[in-house]
Amino acid sequence: MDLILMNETFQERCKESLYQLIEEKQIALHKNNLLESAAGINDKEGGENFLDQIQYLQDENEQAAATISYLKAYQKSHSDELAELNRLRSEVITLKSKNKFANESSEEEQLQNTIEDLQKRLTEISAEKLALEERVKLAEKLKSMVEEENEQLREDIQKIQSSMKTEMINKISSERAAKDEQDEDSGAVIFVQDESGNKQIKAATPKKLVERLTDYSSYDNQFLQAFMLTFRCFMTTGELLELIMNQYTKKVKEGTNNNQSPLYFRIVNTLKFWIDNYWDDFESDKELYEKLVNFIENFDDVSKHINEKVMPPEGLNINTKIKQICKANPPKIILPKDIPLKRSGGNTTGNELKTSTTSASSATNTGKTDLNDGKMNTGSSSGKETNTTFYNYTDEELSNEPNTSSTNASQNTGTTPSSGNILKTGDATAGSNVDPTPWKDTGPEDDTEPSVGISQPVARRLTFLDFDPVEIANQLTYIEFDLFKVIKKEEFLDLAWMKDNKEELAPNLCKIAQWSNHVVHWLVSEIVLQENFKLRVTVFERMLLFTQSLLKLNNFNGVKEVSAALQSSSIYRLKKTKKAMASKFLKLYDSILKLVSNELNFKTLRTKIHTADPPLIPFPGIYQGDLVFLDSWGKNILEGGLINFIKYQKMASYILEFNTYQRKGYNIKPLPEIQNYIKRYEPLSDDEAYKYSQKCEPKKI
Amino acid sequence: MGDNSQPMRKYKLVFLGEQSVGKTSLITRFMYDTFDHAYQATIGIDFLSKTMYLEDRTIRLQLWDTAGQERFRSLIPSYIRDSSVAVVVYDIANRNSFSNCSKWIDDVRAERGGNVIIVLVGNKTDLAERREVSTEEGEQKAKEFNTMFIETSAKAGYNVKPLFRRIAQALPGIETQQQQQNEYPSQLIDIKMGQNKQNEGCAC
Repeated sequence: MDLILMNETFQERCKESLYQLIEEKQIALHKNNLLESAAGINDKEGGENFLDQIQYLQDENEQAAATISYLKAYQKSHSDELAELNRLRSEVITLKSKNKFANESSEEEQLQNTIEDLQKRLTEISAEKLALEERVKLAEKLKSMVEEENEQLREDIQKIQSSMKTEMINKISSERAAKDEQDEDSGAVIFVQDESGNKQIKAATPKKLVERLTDYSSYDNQFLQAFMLTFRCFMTTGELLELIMNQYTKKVKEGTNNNQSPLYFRIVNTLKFWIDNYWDDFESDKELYEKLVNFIENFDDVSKHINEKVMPPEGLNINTKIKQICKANPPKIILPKDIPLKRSGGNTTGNELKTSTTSASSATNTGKTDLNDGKMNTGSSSGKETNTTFYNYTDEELSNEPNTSSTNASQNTGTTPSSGNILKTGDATAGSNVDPTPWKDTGPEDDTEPSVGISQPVARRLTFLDFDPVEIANQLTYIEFDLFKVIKKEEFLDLAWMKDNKEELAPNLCKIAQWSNHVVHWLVSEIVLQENFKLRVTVFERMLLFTQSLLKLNNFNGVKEVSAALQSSSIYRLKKTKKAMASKFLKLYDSILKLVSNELNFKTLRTKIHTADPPLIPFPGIYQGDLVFLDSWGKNILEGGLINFIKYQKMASYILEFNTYQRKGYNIKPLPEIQNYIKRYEPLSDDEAYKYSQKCEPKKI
Repeated sequence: MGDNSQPMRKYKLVFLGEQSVGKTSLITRFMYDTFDHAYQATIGIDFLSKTMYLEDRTIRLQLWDTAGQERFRSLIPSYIRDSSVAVVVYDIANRNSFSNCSKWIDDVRAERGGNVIIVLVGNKTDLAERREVSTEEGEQKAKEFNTMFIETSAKAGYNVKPLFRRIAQALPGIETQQQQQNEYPSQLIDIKMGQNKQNEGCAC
C-alpha cells in the first residue's frame, strides 16, 4: 500500500513539473513574440538569432517534457504490476493457511518458491523505481538549467531593447534639435524652458504647430491633447485638416528614406485622436467629414504606392481602423463618449446606439441619461402642470424607476426615507419627464412665477425633514453628476459661458450654474420656512449631516452649495438657531465653511479635490475663474502671427483636469421621489426668504 | 516700512461687477504691473495676495475675483461676507454694466452693512471714444451710495496703483469702525429691504 501511495505522490510531482514545463514553454513563446516585435523593425537579424536560441531551448523543454511523460506512463504500469503482486501474495498466504495440513510438502515448496520469486521481483521493481526517481531528478535539474538560460535571455532582451530605445531617442532628439534651431532662427517658433528645464513651445505659427503635431521626432502626448482641444480658438477644423493633409503631401514628396514609416504613423495617430475624441467636429460638418474620408482613402493608396515595405504594420492597422470607423458608421453614428447630448432639435436620436470608441463611464450611465434626455426635452415649459400629478403615484412603481443600470447601490443600503411620508413615482416615463424647476433660469423674469403656476395645492409641503439626509446627499449627487458629466470640454474654450450666446455655446455649464442657484435657494427656503424653533435647529443639524455625506461622496459642488446657503444673508443672521445646535454640529459647520473658503483662491478646496479619489464632483466655478484669469494673461496671438501656445497649453490643462473627473461615475441607486422633491421644490426668492428669516428671528430694535 | 514685530494685517478684497468689465485685468495689472504677459512662461493659479508698503505700516491684500463665476449668482454673497473691501467695477463704455452696479452695492450693504469699504470703479477709460457713462454720473452714484469712486484703465495702466493705494489708506480705520458697527448690525442690514432691489438672478 505504501508503495502505491508513494507512486501517487510521485505521479503528482511528475504532473507538476510537466505543467511547469508547459508554462515555461509559453513564456518562451511569448518572449519570442516580444523579441520579434522589439527587434522587428531595425534588428531583424538579431531577432532571428534570439529566435533560434529560444527555439533550441524550447526543443529542450519539449524533450524534458517527453521524458517525464514517458516516465509517468512507465510508473503507472509498474504500479499496476505491484498491485497484482500484492494481490497474489495475499492469495498465497490464504492458500497456505488453508492447506496447511492437507497439502503435500512439495506443493508447499512450490508455493514457497513462487513467493520467493515474487519477493525478488518486488525488490527488483523497487530498485527500478529508485532508478526512475533518479531520472526524474535529472529531468528537473535540466529544467532548472533551462530556466536559468531563459532568465539570462530575458535580461539580454531587455538590455537590447533599452539600448535600441536610447539609440532611437538620441537619434530623434538630435534631429529634433536641428529642426528646432532652424525653426527658431526663422522666427516661426519660440521656445521656453519649463520648470524642470525641458524645452517647451512658447509660441509658433499654426503651420509649425501642426508640423510638430504630425512629426515623429516631436511626439508629445500632452501637446497633442492640448492642441486638439484648443486649436478651435485659432483655426477652423477645415484649416487643421488642410494643414495635416499638407504635412502628408510634404512627406510624400520628401521621398522614401528609412524613417518614413513613423512619419505616417504620427499623421494617422493625430487623425485617430481627433476622431476618437472630437467626433462632433465631423458629425456637424459634412464637408469636413467627406474631406477626411477622401483623404484617408487616398492616404492608403498613395502610401502603398510609395513604398509598401516601410509602412509599419501598426500604421496600416490604425489606418484601416479609421477607415473602418468611417465606413461602418456613416456620419451620424459614432459618438466618442456615451453622452447622448441632445441638441435642441433632438435630431440626433441615433446617437445612443453606438458608443464605439471610449466607454469610460458607461457602466453607471445608461439609466441616468434617460432621465437627462427627458429633462432636456421637456425643458422649462412642462414643469408646472406635472406638479399636480405629483401625489398620485402608486406604491409598486418605486421599483420601476427609470434605471436600467446597476441596481446594487453601493453606499446606500438605508434607502428608504426616514419618515413614513412616501411619494412614489408614477410610471417610468413620468419619472423621467417631470423635472421642471431646476432648468429655469432664476433670472429676473422668473421672479413672479412661483405664485402663478401652482396654487399651493399641497396639504403639506415636503420638507428636508421628511427624508434621510444621507439619502438626500446621495440623490443630489446623482443629479449633479448627471449635470456635471455632460459638460463638454469645448464649453470652456474662449470663455464661451460668458458670451452673449452662452446658452448655445455652453449649455451645460449654464445649466449647472442654474442648478446650483436652485439648490442654494432650496436649502435656504427649507431653513427659514421652518417656523418652529426646535425643528429649525433640527433642519440645520440635518443639513450639516447632509453636507457631511456630500463630503464623503466627494461632491464638492454640493458642499459649496450648502455653504453658500448657510452664508446667505437670510441664514447667516439666524444666530440663535445656530447656537442652539449641539456642539459637534457647530464644529462641523466651521470645518465646512473653512473647506470651501475662497481664501487664497480656494487653496483648501483645491487641495482637497486633488487628493480625493474619483468619483468626485468638483466645483466648476474654480475652473471657470482660472480660465478667466488665464485669459487676461497676454495676447492669444503674438507678433508675426505666432500662436501663444503656452497659454493654450495651460488652458487645456485646466479643462482636461476637469474632464478627468467626468469619467468615473457614481454607483448610486436613483430614488425618484427624493430627486423629484429636490428638482421640483419651489424655493423662495431672496427677498421672501429674508422676510421669513426675520420672522424666525426678529431683529432687535 | 512696516513694523516687523507686529503680525501683518490682512484684508480681503472682493471684486464684483458684470462680466467683461475688466475685474480680472485690474487685478493682474495691479499684481504684475503689466498688461501684456506675452513672455511670461509660468502662468497659473495664483493666490492673488500682495503686500503693500505704506508709510506707516505694511498690510497684505488678498484679492478675490468673482470673474467667471457670475452665473453662480447665489454663491456670491458668501464671497462678500468675509471681505473688508468690495470693488464694484463697471465698464464706462457699457451703460448696462453701470446700472447694475447699484444692485451689486446693495448686495454688499445687505451682507456687510456699513462695515465695509466700497469702491466704485469705472474701468476702460482707454475706450474714451465709446464712453457711455460720464465721470459725473459715476461720481453722482458714488455719492448716492456713499462709496469711493475712481476711473481707471487696466489696459493703459491708468489709475490702477492709485486705486489700491486709496483702498489701503482707507483700511486702518476699519478696526475702530468695525467695533462700532457691530453694535448696530441689523439696522444696516435693513438697507436691503428699503431699496427697491432689482430682481436677483443672472443679468448677464
